[in-house]
Amino acid sequence: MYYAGGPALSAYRIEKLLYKAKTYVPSLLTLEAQYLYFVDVERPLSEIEEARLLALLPDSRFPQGAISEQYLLVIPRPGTISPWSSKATDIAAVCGLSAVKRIERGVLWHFTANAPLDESQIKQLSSLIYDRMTEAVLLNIKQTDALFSQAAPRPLRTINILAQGIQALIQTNQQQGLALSADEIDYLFNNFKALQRNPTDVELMMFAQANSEHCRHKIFNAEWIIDGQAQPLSLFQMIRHTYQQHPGAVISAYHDNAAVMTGFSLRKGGVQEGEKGELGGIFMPDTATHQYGYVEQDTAILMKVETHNHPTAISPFPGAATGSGGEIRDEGATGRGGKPKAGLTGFSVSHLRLPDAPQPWETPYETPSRMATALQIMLEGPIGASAFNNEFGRPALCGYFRTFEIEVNGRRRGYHKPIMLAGGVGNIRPQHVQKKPIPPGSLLIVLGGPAMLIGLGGGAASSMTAGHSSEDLDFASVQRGNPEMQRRCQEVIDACWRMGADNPIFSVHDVGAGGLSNALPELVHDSGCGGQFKLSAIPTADPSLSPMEIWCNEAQERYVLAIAKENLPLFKQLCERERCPYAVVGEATAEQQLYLYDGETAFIDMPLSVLLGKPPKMRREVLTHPLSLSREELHNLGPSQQHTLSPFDPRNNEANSPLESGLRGVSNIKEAAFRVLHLPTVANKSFLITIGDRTVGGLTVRDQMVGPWQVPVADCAVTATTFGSVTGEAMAIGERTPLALLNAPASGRMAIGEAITNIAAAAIDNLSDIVLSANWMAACGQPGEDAALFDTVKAVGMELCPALGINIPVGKDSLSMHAAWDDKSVTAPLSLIISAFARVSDIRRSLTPQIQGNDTVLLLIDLGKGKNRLGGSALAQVYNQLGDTAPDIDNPQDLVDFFSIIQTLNRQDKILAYHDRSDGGLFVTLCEMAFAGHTGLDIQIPPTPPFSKGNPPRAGIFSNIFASLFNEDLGAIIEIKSTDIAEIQNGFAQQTHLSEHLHILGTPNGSDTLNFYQNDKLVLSLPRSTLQRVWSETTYHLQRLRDNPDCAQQEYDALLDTQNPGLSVHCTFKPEIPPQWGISPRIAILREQGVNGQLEMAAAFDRAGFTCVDVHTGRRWRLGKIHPF
Amino acid sequence: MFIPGAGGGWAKSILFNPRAYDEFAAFFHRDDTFALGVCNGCQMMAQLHDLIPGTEHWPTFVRNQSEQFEARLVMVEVVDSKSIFLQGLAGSRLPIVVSHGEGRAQFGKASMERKRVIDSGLVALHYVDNYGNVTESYPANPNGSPLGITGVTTPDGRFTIMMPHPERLFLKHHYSWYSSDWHDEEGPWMQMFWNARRWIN
Repeated sequence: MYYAGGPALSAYRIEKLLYKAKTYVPSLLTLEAQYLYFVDVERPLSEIEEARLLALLPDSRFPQGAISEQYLLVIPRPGTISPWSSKATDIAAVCGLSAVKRIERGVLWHFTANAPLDESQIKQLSSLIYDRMTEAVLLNIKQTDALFSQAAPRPLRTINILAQGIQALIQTNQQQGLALSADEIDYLFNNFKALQRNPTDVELMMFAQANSEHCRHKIFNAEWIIDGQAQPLSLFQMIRHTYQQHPGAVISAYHDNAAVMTGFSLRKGGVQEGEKGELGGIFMPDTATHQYGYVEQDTAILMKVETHNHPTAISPFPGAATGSGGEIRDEGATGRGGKPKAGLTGFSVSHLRLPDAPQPWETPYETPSRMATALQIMLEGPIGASAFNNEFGRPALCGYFRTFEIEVNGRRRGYHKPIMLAGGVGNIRPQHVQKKPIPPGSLLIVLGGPAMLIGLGGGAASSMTAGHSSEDLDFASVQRGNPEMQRRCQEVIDACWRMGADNPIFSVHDVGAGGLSNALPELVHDSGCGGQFKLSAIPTADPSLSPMEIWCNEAQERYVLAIAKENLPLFKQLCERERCPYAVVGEATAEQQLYLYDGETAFIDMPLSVLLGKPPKMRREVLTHPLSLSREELHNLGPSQQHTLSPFDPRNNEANSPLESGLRGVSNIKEAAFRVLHLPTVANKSFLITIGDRTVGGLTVRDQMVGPWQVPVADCAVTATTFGSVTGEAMAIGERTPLALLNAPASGRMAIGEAITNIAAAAIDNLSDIVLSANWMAACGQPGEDAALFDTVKAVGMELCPALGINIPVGKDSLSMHAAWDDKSVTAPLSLIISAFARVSDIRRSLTPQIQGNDTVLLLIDLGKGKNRLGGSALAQVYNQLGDTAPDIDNPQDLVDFFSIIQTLNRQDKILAYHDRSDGGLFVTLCEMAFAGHTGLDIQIPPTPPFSKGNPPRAGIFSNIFASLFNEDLGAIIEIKSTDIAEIQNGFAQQTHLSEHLHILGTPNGSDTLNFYQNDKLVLSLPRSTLQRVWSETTYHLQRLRDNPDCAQQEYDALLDTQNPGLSVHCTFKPEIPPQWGISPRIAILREQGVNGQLEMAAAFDRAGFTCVDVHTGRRWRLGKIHPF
Repeated sequence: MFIPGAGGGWAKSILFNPRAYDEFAAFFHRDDTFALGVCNGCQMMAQLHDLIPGTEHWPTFVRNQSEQFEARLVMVEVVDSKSIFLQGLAGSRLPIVVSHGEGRAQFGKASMERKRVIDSGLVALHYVDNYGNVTESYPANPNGSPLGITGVTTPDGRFTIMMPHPERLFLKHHYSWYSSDWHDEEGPWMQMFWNARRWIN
């Protein structure tokens, strides 16, 4: 049964699509897209029911006449349930349409053409209108029966090793894409032979997932031999070293889904934890009474950062959406239940190659057909991530975006395999930080949606070099997100942790890579238990799933958790209130055996020790890549460089040559400035920001947008601990991956440095209040890359972090950053992405880059101490070069001093504006400050530093003005009152060794022009509005391609108005606070599934003197309870 | 992705559930109750014409003109209306947060209904540009609502709906930008909630 709906796409989107389609199918004349609704019913609907159903479905009506002959019908992939469907079906149920089993939606594409389309043209057209990962194309509407088909389950397979020997295993490994290594195959063969039985496909797939690089981090735990020399520590041990040296505030590291550090206490003097308090505790509804209030509480802060690179490369929207979704689940599944608070997102891709705005440095190169291009990734991926965060109800407050691609020594380096970073900060009650051991007999529960055939084998697939697995396996491995379902699960988890000491959850894990096959064993293994599970108890959406598919699929939005048997009625009640599906799938057992059964059949019957036992440890024997530049490039660098040149030998860090850039063809300062502002890494990132809710939850203090003109230049994100608290949390990102091609350890150090100079904008008492997530990406197996990884981990873990006194309690590695196809390949540089998190002692003191003006000066604090190193800079990139010497942290103490003096000056109200120097150098830092403050500047380019004897200046092609303006050594610009100059200079002299490197740059000039002087000679003068338009061109082009182009144009043109006064306040009233009447009237804060924002609404009414009660509308009427409102 | 808009689906679940229908109808017809619908709540209440007296001409809220989720800090002006939340605020122009994909006010029979809403003083908030003029241009008007209309109320002012989020900005420090003239811990939108508390007495 189906109904017709309204148009699926707006006219201009159809037009755009038709234009594109005509390049493949020239005979195409028209294209039209219309929704169809498919309804699966238990019995025929009555007339009233049908009328009600039609009223529910937007613009729906009975189909009229036959469908024209030429059409394609796009439906969700049979065997899956789309997020739209689960929501619509639920709403139908609430509306009393109990006979409706499921509603699904498809898009009917009518087309007309001059001539009939042949098969290849149909295929071409299809590829433009459907997502091959989540959807299917039908040529005949009759085939839609498949949507609700009741096919018989696919069978269990047993691999007959007892008869056929190890060959049977080798064959299965290949066919199923298990990515088992030879020694793992041996290990399995021997173990099952010892058990005297044949393994099932369920057991093999489970083993492959649990032991994939993705889940086991084999390389990070491997034993390393570099250039024949055995290394004493593994990569992971070197990371742990940071925590052993300086545990700081961290109370949970490495063993849970997220790391945790202590926050500030929200308890008033003498108040016991958990008591009701006045403004000051955590604001939340009571799980039993549903009444909102503040509960006095110590707080803890959790943090997590994940990457989801492979799925985003294959299918950007769902790849990025599930990246964010999985990371959010990690936060919720921390300890005995956590609360996600604010998110971050980041992308690294190759050149965008915008069709309407090609850039001179974007040399041609292809993308393999099975991978999305950089442009596709950036048009779809961010929407996926934002849509998930928005619908889940988490503000997205922080991010980064880098494009990078360059040819070095005949090798193409870049991000064809992209980085998609998803992370966030949350809160957890201190008593819930540690998971509780699960007593045998506890119930094991799956919370969330049903099993579906999506994301099978993700853990193994993501561990392969892109392009090496078969295309089908790639697609099968991508998951799909359903944020609304995940929100329901989180509401259940919230209800549990809000019970404080009575929290029924012993332990919780999220279901990610490997599906239940990974999550359930992990859950029981933590407690030294085993488990027995009933296959038919696992909810599935697709009756045709085989036992292996049920156990191993990666259908999202699921958690596994353990509760005591006697708490089941309570847990059931909590789930029902949120309309959140759950199922008791098994029980914990004392014996450490995994047993999955149904009736008499055992699908899994193996000791946990075999599954998680001791597969042989990996040994990694690699070589450094001493000289990676070609002869020609060596020549171009000039003779003075050759004897010290060792860009790939990070142990040699003496090759610093100040004032040298090695850049060729850079002579026009205006051209250089414009190019740098066009580089997406530098440019305006509005298109990534306005798509994301940044205020849901009501606790955002600092988002990316700054000032009355809302320019996206904030250095870090800040949130409040609770409503009205002065304490909070901050997060910031640092990454300088292009440097890795010159000096990998420097790229790691600089990532940490940048994260710190970013987060320094928040008020943080001590440097040691900062903790880091390190996300490591590398193309392991490619020449030199393993050694680069090792050296960088060592530089960061053994040297820099201990010197700074901070630790890395969380992170992830993704070590197959290489795309290869045909005879081509693209290798990512070693990429360390650092996310810094800190507790903030005073959220009110969050500095921004917005220039205030009015008798002020700008000071540069140059942590590069005049070395002005241009290697790997934005300037180098926009001339399609690398340069020679990478910026670096030469003396960690400088960074320590810098952080401390910025904090001191902030507390003394001395800093009016702050912005760190990073991509694009001093020039871009100044531009961004000017954009945020809508002002012109008069700037003296800092004088050339004194030359030391060892570093004579080199005459020739390069003038140091470029190095001064565009070098990306660490540093920051602060705006201060003119009258404070002497005092601040004095402070630097007393507290740091940086006073020589504190430069007075100039002043805001009250006009709309940025003037740059060198020795009082004007060398560059450009209107602020012109620079801002150039800086905004990339976001404009992307918005035009992605959104309504008229809107993009209006926003871009609005920048032409130099007089725009910005956001302003015209307030006609004075605050009138009602007297204390002593009564607080009750008010219902209504919500429904899929609705968020109830907490801040309750907090606002609470502050006005109301008693707020959480009312879930759907649940309430189903129970027939009527509250007295 | 267009789902049966979170707010729209919610409204249907009330309209088609007899028990919910009756309960809401009774609530809206009392004279000692009030309600505020924000964002999803605004979309939801906008579809309860049948239940809320005096809302026959209220707009519904559909896909933003940009066809994109819009999260921005924008300017609105409080229009003189009966809204109990906005008493005394009329004429103020203040920054406020929007976060929605479906916020474009759509009036039945286009200009006729819109005129009725305006003429009967039901408009409570409209978007203005940074110069203080009512605006339909993007992104000052983030969703393309005609005449910038983004909040409406009932003839007696007890029920008010709006797409922007005053409740996310009741404290000053939660504004992405605020005026240096603000010295209280609360921001100006807190007055809406204080007004509601006063109204009860």
